[in-house]
Amino acid sequence: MGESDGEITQLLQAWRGGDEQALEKLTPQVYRELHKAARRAMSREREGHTLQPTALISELYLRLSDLRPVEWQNRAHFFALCARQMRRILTDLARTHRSEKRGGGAIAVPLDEAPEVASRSPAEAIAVDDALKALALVDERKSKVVELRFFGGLSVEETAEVLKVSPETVARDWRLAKAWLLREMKGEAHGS
Amino acid sequence: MDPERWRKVESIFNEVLDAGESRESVLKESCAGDDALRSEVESLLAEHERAGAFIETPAFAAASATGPGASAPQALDAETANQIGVAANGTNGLIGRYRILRKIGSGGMGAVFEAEDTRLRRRVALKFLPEEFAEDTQWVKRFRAEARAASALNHAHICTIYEIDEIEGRLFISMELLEGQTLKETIAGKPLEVNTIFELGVQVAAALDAAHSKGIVHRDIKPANIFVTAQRQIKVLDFGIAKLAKRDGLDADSDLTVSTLDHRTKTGIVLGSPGYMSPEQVRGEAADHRSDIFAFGAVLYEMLTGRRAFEKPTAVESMAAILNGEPPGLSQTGPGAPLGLLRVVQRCLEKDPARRFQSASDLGLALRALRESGASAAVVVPQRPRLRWLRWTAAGALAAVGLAAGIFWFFSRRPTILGEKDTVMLGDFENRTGDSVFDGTLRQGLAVQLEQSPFLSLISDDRIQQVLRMMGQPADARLTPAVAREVCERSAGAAVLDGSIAQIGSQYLLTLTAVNCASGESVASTEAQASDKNHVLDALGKTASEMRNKLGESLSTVQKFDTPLEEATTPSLEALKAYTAGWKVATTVDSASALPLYQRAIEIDPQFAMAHAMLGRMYGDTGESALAAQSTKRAYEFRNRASDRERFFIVASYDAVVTGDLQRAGQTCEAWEQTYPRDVNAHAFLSGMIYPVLGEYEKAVEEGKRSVEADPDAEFTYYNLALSYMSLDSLQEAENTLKRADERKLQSPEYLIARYQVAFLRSDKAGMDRVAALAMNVPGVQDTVSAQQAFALAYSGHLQQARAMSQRSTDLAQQSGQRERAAQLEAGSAVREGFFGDIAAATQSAAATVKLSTGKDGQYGAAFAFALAGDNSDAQTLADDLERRFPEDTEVRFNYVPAVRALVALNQSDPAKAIELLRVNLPYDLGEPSSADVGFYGLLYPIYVRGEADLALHKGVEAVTEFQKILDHPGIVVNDPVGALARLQLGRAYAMTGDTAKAKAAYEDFLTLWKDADPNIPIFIRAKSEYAKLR
Repeated sequence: MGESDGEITQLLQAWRGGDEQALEKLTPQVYRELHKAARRAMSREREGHTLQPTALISELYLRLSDLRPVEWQNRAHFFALCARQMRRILTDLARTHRSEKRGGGAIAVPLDEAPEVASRSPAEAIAVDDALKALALVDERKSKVVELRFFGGLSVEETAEVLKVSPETVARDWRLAKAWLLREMKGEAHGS
Repeated sequence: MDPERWRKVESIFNEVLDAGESRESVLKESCAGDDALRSEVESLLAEHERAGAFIETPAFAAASATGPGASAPQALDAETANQIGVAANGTNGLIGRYRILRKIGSGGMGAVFEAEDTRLRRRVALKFLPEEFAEDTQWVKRFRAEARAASALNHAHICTIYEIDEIEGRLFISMELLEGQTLKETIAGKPLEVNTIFELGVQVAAALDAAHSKGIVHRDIKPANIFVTAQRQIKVLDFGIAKLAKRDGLDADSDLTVSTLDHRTKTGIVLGSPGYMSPEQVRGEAADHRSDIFAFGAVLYEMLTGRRAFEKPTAVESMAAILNGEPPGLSQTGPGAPLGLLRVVQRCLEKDPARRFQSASDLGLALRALRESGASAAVVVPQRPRLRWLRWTAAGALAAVGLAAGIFWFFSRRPTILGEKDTVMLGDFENRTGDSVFDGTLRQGLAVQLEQSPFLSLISDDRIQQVLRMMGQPADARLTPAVAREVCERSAGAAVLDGSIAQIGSQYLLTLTAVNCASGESVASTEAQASDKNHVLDALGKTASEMRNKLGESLSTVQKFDTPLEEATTPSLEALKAYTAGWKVATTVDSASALPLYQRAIEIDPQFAMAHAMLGRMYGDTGESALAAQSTKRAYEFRNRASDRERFFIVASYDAVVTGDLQRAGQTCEAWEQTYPRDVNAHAFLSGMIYPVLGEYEKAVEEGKRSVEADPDAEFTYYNLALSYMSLDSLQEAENTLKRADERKLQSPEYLIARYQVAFLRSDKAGMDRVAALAMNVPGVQDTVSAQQAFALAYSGHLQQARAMSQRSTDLAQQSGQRERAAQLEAGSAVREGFFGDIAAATQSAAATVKLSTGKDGQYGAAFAFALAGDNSDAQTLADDLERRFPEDTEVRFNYVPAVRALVALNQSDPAKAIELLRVNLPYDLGEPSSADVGFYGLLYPIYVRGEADLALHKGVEAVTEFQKILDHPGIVVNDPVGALARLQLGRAYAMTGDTAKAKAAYEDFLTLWKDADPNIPIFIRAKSEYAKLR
């Protein structure tokens, strides 16, 4: 653990004790940690290991917090926070990656390309990220659902918990958001 | 886009997608001319269609989550192309129009790849069938046909087949690409949570229902063919084609299919077993959709237990188990497994397809109903039916009389109730100490402790053993929480006490939990620690006392509740709702109003046995015995879909109403009351419908008392008891009984009948008038009270007034559409006219009766009236018909037919034959047949006819005995014409014996009774002339 771990733990405890602002203060620390974790995970991926974002975040959370068992609600909110960070990290990573690889950026990537994490998903991630910004203007909650699910890797139930809506609502939001995003992305591709 | 518009788009989008097949019409309707709106929604729908796996995998996730049994992604290398058996087209990895992305699985049907359909730009799963398959052209033809049929299935929970085609001679299927895992992987040898089982099970049932309704049978339902997506959506794979892919030798086991990697890939040998085949499939017989239901039952079992239902070391043993065996421990799968769900599984796994759920939609309804009832209760039926069945038919419509007190009407999840008479079931202690000394002893100790309590009554060990036998368990079966709960429910107990003991170091921890056995909710728990082994019993005593306290406290706060779960009757919540509503209406309004509700319940679930039974009961209450018999017969046909208790009810009703075999009905009721001593219905049957007909009034009174005791708030019990007292001429007791009902604020229109009859027997004219006046305001009883008035008038020879009253009575019944009731009332007139000697009137009324209905009581009345009128031919015809239609009916065999035939024999001047014919009636000669319930005729007619035969044989002494018998039982006869005429006949009999004084007295008795009689009544004229000759 890095030098900020003590501070993170403190903030987590304060948050758990009811201090809402503590969660916001956690953001930069969490970003740093996730970034490290993401890089680590990607190198593992190359060695044939895989890691889900939830697992990533859980790992982080458990590492940062010495409070076990973790309360479900706190966990969900922490995950929501992480999802936002994951979105930033992944799109940043992908943009870097794309600039390194001229001619990249299309969603369909040739099959002989390197591992998926480094190619298809981040490329998709950029497109989704852009479209998601547009969706947020139309329907904030749906963009939130996509962020939590796609970038945060949250399940429908977890997403529902974070957004304080029913899982059915999440499932419906998800369905429409996907269609909307696909259309939006297609429009962009055609330059409209 | 403005928010309002967007919301509109969203709502139409969702509506269309939820509409299933009626999409187009929904779209048309919702957009209603707004083309821009429509095009907006349509463009989103189009995207939705092609969304496929879009962003379903979280951004950061490795692609490994993309498919069942997925392996690391691969490019279409030479090896892959080789596996598929086709040449990759050029360098871009295209096969046909598909770009192969990676291999995601393999199985018995061949390799599966994730691919992109370049034309439609969507991700798909491609399954290539092994080359060997393609060689069999017949098979390929069939496969294509099946797959094409399956591809027509468009359902949220069925994996969509897009296309079946071949490339370079290799057959492939293009289908929906899914993410998640198979149910097999989801279960992974561990039980799933009950809520998950419901959540997933309902979806599988919906998928099966959709396919079955299109005539497509899966034939290979099993966890490996059921896919659970990342969104916990079920997708059933390979409809219709999975089994086809298993040709002999290629895939003899049933465990390998298209989309799964399986044992074989790991071990190289076939390990699977035919664990999900239905018995008919095992036997190689034709398998219809009910085979899928069986297989799904096995899947549900596996979800519930984590174990295969028919897991055996070899395929042969598995098959044997499927044909003959039961999956282990269906009834004791642990406290978490709701009984209702186990029953659903049992029903799916019935060996005989006809005994399974008959449709996946029924099954889905059952699962939904279970889920909605809190996952614990199967279906909850009020335990004490507050039926008014009186003497089967006598009840009429109930004016809205206040019955608010004590009406049960609830569904589920009511709070627990321990009442004063509630019993408690003790389960076996769970002994976690490993020390066998605690086995059995703790339960015994607890029993001793608890029996000191004045209000806790324990379900006896005798009873427990009896119930265990009924459950198909050995009498000494371990009373695990699940078993104990079932015993408790079956015994109508309120709560189960489960205990456990554990050792912590040198200390012992004892816990007791009281569980409401209907809902499974824990209602109280206590614990105590013992410092060492020697103090365990002390601790037990302490915790038991504490439990007594807790239960005692809750006693005062909770309300009455004793709905045993055992009463599971329909898997349809909707049907149950209608049924329960029917119940409520029957108890608060009247039987006639409840009819449509029970009919509705049956419409929803045609096999709802109790709904048929109750419908029958309601028909019976309204005097429609033919319809009652029909419904009761249906109930009997479906009697296996009822609890033990309900089955008693149904079987007893069947014999009482359909076959009429009262001996058998009586035996059923006796067993019933032994099993469920507190069930008011058993007593009510015996006291109201069986013993009176057999003439066993003491027993009827006894049972009547028990029924009142069993349910002091059931108004019909008082009525039956009052009538039985009356039959024993205990008028005071009859009145007291009605008074008790009054004191409990119970009201029932039938009480008016009883009150009228008591007043009649007391010659209380004012009382009779008072009741008649009261009846004017009570719709359901106006007709019968009018009939009573008619009989009372005729009893003293006021025939003209009686006729008018009878007419009114019959009209009222007809106006309310109760034809059979009208027929019985008409038959009363016919019989009376016959007795009084108006042949034309008797014949006319008898003919009218037959026209109204073919109910047995009315028909008997008509036959008897024809015979009285000398019309032997019609009388015989009707008697023959009765005998033919009711060959087992106690009344028909021992009362109705002998009486009619004896009368015919008399008409034919063969009195000896008449006596002979009536011999069968002797054991029951004091019985009150059901013709007396609504029509008020038929009382002691066999005795009367026997007396006439004696007269014809010039056996005066014998004739005196018979007629005296009638006069000695006024409480049975009440105002039946024979009561009046027996006086005259007694006079004739005495005259025959030469005892003129007694003869005169008897004639005078009659003539006094008829002192104001209409002068032109034939029998009156004869009586006067005979009397004149006596002098």
